[in-house]
Amino acid sequence: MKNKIQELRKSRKVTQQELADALCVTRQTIISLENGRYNASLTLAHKAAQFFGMTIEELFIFEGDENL
Amino acid sequence: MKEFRKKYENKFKISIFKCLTMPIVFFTVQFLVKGGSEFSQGLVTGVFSALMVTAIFSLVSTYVILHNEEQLKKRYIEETDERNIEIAKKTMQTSSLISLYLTAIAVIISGFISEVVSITLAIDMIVGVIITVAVGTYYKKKM
Repeated sequence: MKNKIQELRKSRKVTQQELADALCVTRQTIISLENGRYNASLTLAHKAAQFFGMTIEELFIFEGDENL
Repeated sequence: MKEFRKKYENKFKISIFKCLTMPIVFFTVQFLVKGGSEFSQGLVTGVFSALMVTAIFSLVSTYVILHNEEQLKKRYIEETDERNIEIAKKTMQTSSLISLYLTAIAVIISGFISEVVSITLAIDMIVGVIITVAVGTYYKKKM
């Protein structure tokens, strides 16, 4: 699943560590999310969407049956 | 975070309990194996020394974490990070599967060498499978 985390984070001049602290996850999780190696849970997606002030659909791009 | 602090407070209490009771248990066991071989006495001393060191280490580290808010938050993030939890789950899943297949191979190979070893390994494998099925059934009902 693609997401706009890196793009939004950079545009708002937020560091990976700051975002990680705000979402209560490790910096490594943010790196993995940005690289698309890890898909966030619903809770984390919700927290991230709240942080950027947008909806989950706007932040995460669902590309069909990824795990089917 | 409050629950996490409570968890660490309980861990600290358990560590104190371990540190206080371990010497008593050690001297009791040492007294019981007094007439035993040098090996058994050495084994008891070794095991209890290792347990004592881990208990003291746990006591000190828990104390430090509980008295440092930054450390506590860092530990909270490390332990509750969903990616870390996911990694731990997948590691357990993959390693137990590999272990199961390796045991199955060992059962077959040892069958040609020693019947006792082969049966022991087979029992170990069967018990492992039973536990996996039982835990799987529990979680299927729970979720």
